[in-house]
Amino acid sequence: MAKRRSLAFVTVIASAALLLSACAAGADTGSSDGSQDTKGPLRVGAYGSTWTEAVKATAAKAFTEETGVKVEYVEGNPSDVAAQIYATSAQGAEPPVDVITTDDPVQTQLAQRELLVPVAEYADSVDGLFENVPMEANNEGYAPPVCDWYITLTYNKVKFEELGLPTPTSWEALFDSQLAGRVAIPDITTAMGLPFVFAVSDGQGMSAGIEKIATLDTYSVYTSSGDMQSDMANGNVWAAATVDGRGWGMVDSDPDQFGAIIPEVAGTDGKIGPRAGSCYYDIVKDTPRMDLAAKFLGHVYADETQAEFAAQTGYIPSSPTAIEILISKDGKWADRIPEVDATVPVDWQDVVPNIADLTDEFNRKLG
Amino acid sequence: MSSTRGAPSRAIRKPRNPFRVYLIPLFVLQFATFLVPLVLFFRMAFFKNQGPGLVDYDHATFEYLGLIFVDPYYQQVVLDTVIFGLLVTVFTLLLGFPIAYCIARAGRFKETLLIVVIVTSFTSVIIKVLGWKILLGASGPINSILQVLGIADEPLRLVNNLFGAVVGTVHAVLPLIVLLLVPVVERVPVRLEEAAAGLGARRFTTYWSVVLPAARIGLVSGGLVAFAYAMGSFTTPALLGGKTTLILPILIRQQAMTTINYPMSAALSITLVVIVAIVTVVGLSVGSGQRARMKGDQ
Repeated sequence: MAKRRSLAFVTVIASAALLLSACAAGADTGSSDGSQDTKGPLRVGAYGSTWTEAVKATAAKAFTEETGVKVEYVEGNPSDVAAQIYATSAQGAEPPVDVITTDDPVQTQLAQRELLVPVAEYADSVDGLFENVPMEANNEGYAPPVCDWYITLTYNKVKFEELGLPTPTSWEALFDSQLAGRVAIPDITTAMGLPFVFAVSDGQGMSAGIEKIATLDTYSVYTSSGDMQSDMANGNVWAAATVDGRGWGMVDSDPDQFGAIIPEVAGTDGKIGPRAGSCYYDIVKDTPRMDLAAKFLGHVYADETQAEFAAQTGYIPSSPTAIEILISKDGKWADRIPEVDATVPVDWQDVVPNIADLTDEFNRKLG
Repeated sequence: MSSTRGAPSRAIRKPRNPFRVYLIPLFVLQFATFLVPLVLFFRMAFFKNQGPGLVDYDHATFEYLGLIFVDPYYQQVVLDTVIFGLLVTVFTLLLGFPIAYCIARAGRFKETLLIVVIVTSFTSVIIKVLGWKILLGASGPINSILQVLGIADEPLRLVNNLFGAVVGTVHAVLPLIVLLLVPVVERVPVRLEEAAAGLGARRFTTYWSVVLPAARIGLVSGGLVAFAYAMGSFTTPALLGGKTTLILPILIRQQAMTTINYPMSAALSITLVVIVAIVTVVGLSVGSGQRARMKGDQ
């Protein structure tokens, strides 16, 4: 009997261990080694894939040439990397990254928790840092935008022609009955999710947007735009809402197959968008590599780097000079970069405090 | 009860296992790296969330655990998770046991077949998932074949739903369960099958009435492992299940990594662990009962 009991105990523990290790394995999206070595590489939180490759080829390359210090990447959505920062902060440990790529909601959340270094503490240590970019920061006192991004409606031109559908001009195109079951939209937990909700809300508020999305017959509600791209390439998805960098990248890879536009947003007097937000590079509080991090930002925000980064990723530079360089190198960007006044932005200061509630609402309506 | 059970242990004293001491580091390691962080994490479920990544340890609450019990949405998520786990378990056993049987009875080919099973388990889950996404896609080969054969007029929705999640997870756990079940089948004496055949039983009858009952305990163990694996799996259901397969591990990750609500995430984790623990205990009780009955029969 005692043997049986101990066997039962061991099996319960083993099952629980198996279960939780599987959960942990699924949740582990980072690659940081939590190094305590202040002379070690600079650790940068970055989206993976094309984004990381572009950083490697531009800012990181120049940074390593200048300092001799290598750059390591902790890949994941800004919210994933931020989650690691929250965890280490709660333990009083060194942050998992020295520099983090953020979007509007993540920068706002981290700034509210005072987990980012204010610009005033390091801007003077690097010549000309941020001088070329508009200092209209999302969060006053923290890093200004390095690139701006929009949500595009990306579509399969061949299928649209076959179905007799016109070239889309507004977000309403996704709701066409002929596209039922062939539309991919971003999950609300991704950087594109909330802007997409805003895009279809017809100016009636985010809850109205979620209600409307719930009526959409989707093929997938994706958490990775790479996943969506694969579905479009395989012909499973014929239209998708995605970030402009991904959309333009698909058009460039196969212009006969794919088209992308920044559509009109209903209820905004003909404005297009939404201007989903900006991307930022911030220095993380308590990093032991503050000087190196500031130098890295010097390269990231440089005009040439921004232009080259945009050419590789499709994200629009924040620096007007960088935009000029980009267009001078390739005229197609003149058509892709909209006049800011013609676009409608997401009001992040209004949205961010409600993210948890909106996520819950989205899950309940679409789950 | 047999007389030997009640006999004094003085006569034949079982020698102590000299290697027991080697288990101590394992227990210490488990305690430090598994149990302690788990308890610390679970503790958060009983305190107030104060915003992203912040827990107010001055204010205890049962709000989050209570919500799981009273909110129909969370009840549905828990139910969906259990259904998902049970479906994976049933289909894994349905597929795994015949495969294990074939391997165990394959004679000189047994080792080769085992190597094949082991090699298939080397493939990354992501690779398997991507393969399934293509196979099950609306324009994928399975849908194309079904439409060419006239079985379906329009593409069937085989992915981004519960079906896709179950298929992918069964595929992921199958090699493990086959490897667990091969020794189980090996322990079923071939002479039992020969005796059944000698008495005129057909092959399926022998399998159903002789082999399966004799392997019941192993099947329960295999089922428990498959269930625990399914209940904890994240990547496969997240990528193949889509938004409609919102199971506990996906919601836990969302709460921990996106909305950064640690107390809710911890409460959901406790629920998940408790479900698996209950099913495991029930499964073990069933297994123990069967073992006792088999001993009694002998």
